[in-house]
Amino acid sequence: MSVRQAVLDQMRIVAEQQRKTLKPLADDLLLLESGLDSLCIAIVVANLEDELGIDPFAGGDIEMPTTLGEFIALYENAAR
Amino acid sequence: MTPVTFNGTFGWLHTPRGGVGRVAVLICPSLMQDALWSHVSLRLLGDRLAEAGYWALRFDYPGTGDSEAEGDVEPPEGHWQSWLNSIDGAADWVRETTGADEIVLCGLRIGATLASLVAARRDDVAALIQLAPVMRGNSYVRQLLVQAQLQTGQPLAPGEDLIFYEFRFSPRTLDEMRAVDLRKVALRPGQKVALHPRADSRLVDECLEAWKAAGVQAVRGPWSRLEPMMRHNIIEENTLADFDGVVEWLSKAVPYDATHRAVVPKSGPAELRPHGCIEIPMNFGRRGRLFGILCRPENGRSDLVVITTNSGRDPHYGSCRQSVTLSRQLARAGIATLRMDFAGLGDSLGPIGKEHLMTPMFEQDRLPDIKGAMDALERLGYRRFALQGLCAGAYHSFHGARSDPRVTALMLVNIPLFSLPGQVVINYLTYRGSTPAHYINRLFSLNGLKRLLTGKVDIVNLLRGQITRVQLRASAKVQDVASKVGMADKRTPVQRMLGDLSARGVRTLFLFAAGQGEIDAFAQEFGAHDEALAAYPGTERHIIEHMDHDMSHASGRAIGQALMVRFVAPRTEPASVAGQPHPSDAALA
Repeated sequence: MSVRQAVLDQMRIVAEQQRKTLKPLADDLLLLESGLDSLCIAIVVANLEDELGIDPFAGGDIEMPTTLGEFIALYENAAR
Repeated sequence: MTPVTFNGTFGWLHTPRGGVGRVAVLICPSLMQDALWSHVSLRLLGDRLAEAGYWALRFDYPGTGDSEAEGDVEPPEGHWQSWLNSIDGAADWVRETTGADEIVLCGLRIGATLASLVAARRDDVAALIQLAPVMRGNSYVRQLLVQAQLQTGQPLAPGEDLIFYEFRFSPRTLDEMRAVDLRKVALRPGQKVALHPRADSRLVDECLEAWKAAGVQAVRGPWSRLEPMMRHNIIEENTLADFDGVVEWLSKAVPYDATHRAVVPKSGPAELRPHGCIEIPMNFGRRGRLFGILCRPENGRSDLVVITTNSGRDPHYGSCRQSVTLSRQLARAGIATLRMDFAGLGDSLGPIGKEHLMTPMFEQDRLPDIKGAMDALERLGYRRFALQGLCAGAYHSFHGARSDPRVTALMLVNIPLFSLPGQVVINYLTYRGSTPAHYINRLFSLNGLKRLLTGKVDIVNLLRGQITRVQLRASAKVQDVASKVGMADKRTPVQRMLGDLSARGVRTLFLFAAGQGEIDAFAQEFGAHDEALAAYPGTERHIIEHMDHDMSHASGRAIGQALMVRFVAPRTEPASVAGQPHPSDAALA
């Protein structure tokens, strides 16, 4: 499974668990307007770390991505 | 169930049938939102275990819930160690108090993680029940850091404490949490474990494999019936977890033995003594089905008591323990507080026959509960009453003051409406913020039509919200025209409500978070400027920057609470603790 797919899957799983309605997942979608609140996004990050073994924020002082595309790119870069 | 206190901790002891039993189950809660959302479900778990023949103890870790310690000050050993030690302390206490000779630890989320670590270091833990456990501390800390960064806009600098919700976490505590990995926890061979993961994952598989390889009798339990306790459900009535599967497993894994008879010493009266306060649990209302904690000053006595009410469906201690913090600040300023649960929320029982349901946030009549609280407090000698609430709690407090002349002050945080709109309130609040034109424009986009046709738009509730919005505005227009021609009182019904309270001498404090929809709703009734409140003597309004709807942001919460303390406990209050700085000083500096 690609990193992109894993990220999108986790967003859908967490949205389902938290009963949030996701907007269509496009790269230019603002994360905080995706339908997920800050808790949901934080859970997505935690779950991705557990499932992929990737923590792109581990280096510290990483600016939070604002769009979904930036969020996915952060993980794809960390996976390389 | 009986309220108990031990080691500065507050808890509930659920007594098994016949008052005897050799097995005690410690219910180790989660933290923060997980704890708020699961509170009532875990209360029912305690009841369910007691019905099945087990002692069950629910308790609050130090710095959480109603416990004495403050969460924003780390103890010398750090939060993580103090929580582990508190589980040890609770296990020792329940064994000594009940005569139980075997312990079962049942934890939810990070509570399951803590329970696992304690299970590994004690020799009396017969079984471990893990409900959606946090498998790796590193990812949990990451979750906290990301959520905090999204709230503040800033990442945590190296070496800095994390201030989040009611907690201050030192770098040492964060490192201790990061170091935990359940796959490496050495449980004892023969120990029985039921792990109920929220979702399948590689980590869960590896953990179960590792434990089985070490001789632990570990099984994977189902999750679907437990899911309701993890949801922030603010609408449906039937929103509690079903623990039948958990209890069924336990009754086979660690049978309770009805023939076991032990001498059971009674525990002393429940009381906590945070700095400057004395706190005692109270049952009141019809048949004692309502619950609250009375927090009174250690020294001095005023005849005024503040009653804090549930925010939404949160239990009486509130998000980030805000009602606990406010209670204790007020006590140090000489004012008592009762932080109470409305019927069917927190630790108050719901209507008879509906104990397994949560009552609605807005639509449930709370006036009997508020009256019950005031009647009970009056019997204790209190004569003046202030009501405090956030969101739905503010709504009910407003109407509580209207219905009872004993109320002399109101503190209303983010009150979203003053009267019910004739439909499910949450749906109305969700959709009222936008105009019909907004939705029409969205509909006539390709994506909007697609969402409508595939059922992704809640068209029924959207339309209801808009219809109600239009009706209310039309009604306001008619009222305005009628008053101009002298056919009606110039004031709207809500303005009359506040006017009547003001005329009666009730002082009202409105607090709003900046940039939230509640300010607009208030402005529609009373205008956008404070000058309009001159018509209501004793009323004031503050808009607080950096405060969110739930008061979960620490800085905004501190200011809001300081304003509330100053409102009911001004410096001239004769019963204030002499020689002490006023609790509001630091936040309002």
